[in-house]
Amino acid sequence: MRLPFFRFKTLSSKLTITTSLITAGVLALIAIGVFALKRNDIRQNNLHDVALNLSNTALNINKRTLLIEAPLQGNVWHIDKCVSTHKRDSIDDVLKYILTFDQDIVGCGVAFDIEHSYTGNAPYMIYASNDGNISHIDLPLPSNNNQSNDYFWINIALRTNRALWSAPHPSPVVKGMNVCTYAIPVDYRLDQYRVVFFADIPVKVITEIMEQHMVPSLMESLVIDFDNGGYCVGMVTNPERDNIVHITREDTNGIIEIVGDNRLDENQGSFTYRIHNTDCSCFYASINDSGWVLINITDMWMMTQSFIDTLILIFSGFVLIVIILHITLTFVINKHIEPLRKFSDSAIEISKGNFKAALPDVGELTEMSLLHDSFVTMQQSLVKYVDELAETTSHQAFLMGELQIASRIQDDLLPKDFPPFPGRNDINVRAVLIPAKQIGGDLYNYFIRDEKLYFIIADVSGKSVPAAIVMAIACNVFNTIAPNLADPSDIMRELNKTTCSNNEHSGFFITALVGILDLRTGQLKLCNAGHDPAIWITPEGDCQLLNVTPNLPVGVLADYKYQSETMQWPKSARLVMYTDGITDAENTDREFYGIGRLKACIQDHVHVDLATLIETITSEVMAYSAGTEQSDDLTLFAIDYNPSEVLVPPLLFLNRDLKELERISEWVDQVSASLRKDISFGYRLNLVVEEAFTNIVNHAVFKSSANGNITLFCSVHSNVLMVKLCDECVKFDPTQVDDADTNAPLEERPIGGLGISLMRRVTSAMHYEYLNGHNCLTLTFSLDN
Amino acid sequence: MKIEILQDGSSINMIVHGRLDTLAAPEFDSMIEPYLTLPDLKITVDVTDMDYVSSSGLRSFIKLLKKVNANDGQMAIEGMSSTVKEIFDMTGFSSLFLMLPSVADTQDRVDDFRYYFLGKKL
Repeated sequence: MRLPFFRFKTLSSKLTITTSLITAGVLALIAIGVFALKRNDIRQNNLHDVALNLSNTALNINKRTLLIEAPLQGNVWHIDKCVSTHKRDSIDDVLKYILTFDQDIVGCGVAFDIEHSYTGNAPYMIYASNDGNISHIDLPLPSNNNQSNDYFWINIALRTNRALWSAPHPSPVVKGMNVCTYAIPVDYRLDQYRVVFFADIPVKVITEIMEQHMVPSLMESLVIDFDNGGYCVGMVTNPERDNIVHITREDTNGIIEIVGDNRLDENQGSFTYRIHNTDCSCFYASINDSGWVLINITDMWMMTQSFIDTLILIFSGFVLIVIILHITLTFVINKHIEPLRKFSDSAIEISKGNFKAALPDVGELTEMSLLHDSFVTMQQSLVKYVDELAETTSHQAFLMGELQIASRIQDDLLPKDFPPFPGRNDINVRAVLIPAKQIGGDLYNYFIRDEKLYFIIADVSGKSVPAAIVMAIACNVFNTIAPNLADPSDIMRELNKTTCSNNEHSGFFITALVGILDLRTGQLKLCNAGHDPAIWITPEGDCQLLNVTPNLPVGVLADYKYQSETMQWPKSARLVMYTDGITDAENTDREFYGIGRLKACIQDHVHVDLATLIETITSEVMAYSAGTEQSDDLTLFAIDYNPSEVLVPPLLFLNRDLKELERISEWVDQVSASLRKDISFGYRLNLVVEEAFTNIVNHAVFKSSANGNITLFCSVHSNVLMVKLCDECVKFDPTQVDDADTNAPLEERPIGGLGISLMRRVTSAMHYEYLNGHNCLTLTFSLDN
Repeated sequence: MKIEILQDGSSINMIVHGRLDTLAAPEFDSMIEPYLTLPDLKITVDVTDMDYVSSSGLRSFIKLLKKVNANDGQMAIEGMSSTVKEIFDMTGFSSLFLMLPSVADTQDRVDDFRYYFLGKKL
């Protein structure tokens, strides 16, 4: 598991890290700014401090040397007197007396001039050291090489004829001790001799003062004696306090010359100088009367070193602050953001459908409490919305259910058993209706009555429920009135009357095509009330619109006189009718399917059966309008009529009397003869017709209202003979009667049931239908041998 | 339809001419009815000249057979044409009735009848 500090992708870590980085950046900028602004000031201050310090040190050295000079100056006259009076012994006393003045005076003495010695003896000096010994020390003969001995300062004092401080040199009596000497020349011109009165102090007296007063470790310091006849001898604080370091001019890289020049103008000062590619500051201060110069050489970078140390300290402080800030922020922000995570969990719960999911407690934090309130509102809205949705959905489901029932009812109004006349070979119809909504305003219907096919195709203006109501009425009216009327214009007129009487306020209308086809003669009567023209198609593929006299649509004018037209059905032709749902079907480019495409489609499928044709056109229109909403109800209705070639004798009306069997027998003989069939065929035909007729006469229950006639007729289609018996008795389907058991032994044989067994065995097919109050039994015989 | 009935003691030869249809069936029934009570009844129905039989006719045959059997008599059908045989076959009647081949004339048929049923040749 990762620590929260390192989850960089969370809001809290982003906030924390951003804040910490900004803080660190600001602090760094402050530090850099302070450094840039104050760097020069600090350097100047440091330079000033060093100069002051150097000057102070020089003063202190001067003060110390004055304490040494004072007793010597004050006792010069003693020496003068002793020498001039030749009281040599008194010199020792004076020297001892001098030693008592200052504990740092390690020795003092008097040197007698070698050139002007009044004794003529070799030069020597009387030296009193602070351990109480007084010794006579021979001095070397003077030479030009002053540095060759340790007593060069005697000659310098005599030559310059003034008091001086010497450069450090080894003590004449104490081995390993370096001393500086203060020497006063005492000149006795009268007596032609010269002496030098002097006192030694250890070098470390000076270096201790330097160590005491100068800023340690920052710089290299040295004291240089310029009075020493062009030689440069220095006392350097390091590495050991009382070591004498001989510095040649070359060693100092020319600094000595610059200091030498400058000190003539000023007692102290500074300049910058570059040594070994390093910028250095060189400070100098003259020590009064001694001829010494205190020099301090400092690296420029070193001048800001302390400041840099401070900066490092501050930076460390800043880093610490940033770390503490980061940790604090992490905990604080995490604590405040925690409710957001809980809100997220709650939102997931809500999305799963638990609208009552608990929300985190956010206290008084304004934004969080606003979010909390929003969540609460959202939960309430969701609950309310879902309730409303459930109610709406159930209501809609109820309406949909109602519509589905209506759809089924409407569906039942339309005949749908295809082929509808399976016993007939001369006539076949096929239709399809696809409503745009669940229910629609298109309709088709047909039936055969007295060898006439009545048919209608109609389109009620509008769609859905209103159109469906009108459609139902129209369908009913057609079914009721058509059988009693002989001309389609009469049917249309009645339809118009009924529709107009119901149409005072609604303003809808119906376009319709009503036809009556006489199946015996092929005569077709058509009445068109503003409907799209039907299409003829002949077996040769000749396709043309059937233009009949147009009439007003139904429902427009109550007393309109509809005209019908009579024509002969072309041989083997097919009639295709449709509603504008077909031709007005649009594709995604909003182009209509159109009559042209419909004709082309029909022409491409001349020889297919009706079912295939209807299916093909429907699927083509559906494919054409794929991707668009079906805008109108869509109906196709096609009729094939191929009349019998032979009709012998066409019709026989029979009474309910078994005596009619003789006429039937004659009729059968006629049929058999005209078909050129043998006796056996006639025998079987006779047998079946007799059985059917006898059944009706003996067993059928006659309705009181109906006439007692039984109609017998036959038709021939290529190799099939179809014989049809129709009666108006109570509905009875003889084809449902069971066979007698033809294998049963005699005792178990019933007397009845034989007839139907025989009919089944002799005919190639039996078909029963109940049409308009008529029992119609069609018996089919194969004419093949 | 025309029916002849020849009687020789308890042997009955019933000759049917023409169409035995629904109209004729009742006549068939009524004509044979008086002979059915004879003891040791032996009936031959000659259908050589019968053109046509309907289911009513078939029904008459089966009724006759049932009555003969009830009376412990015997019955045969003689000279059935192929078209009529077809109907008998279709209804499964062929297996119920004793079928005899056709003979040239009535007398021969009577002789055959005697031969088959009485066991003596004339």
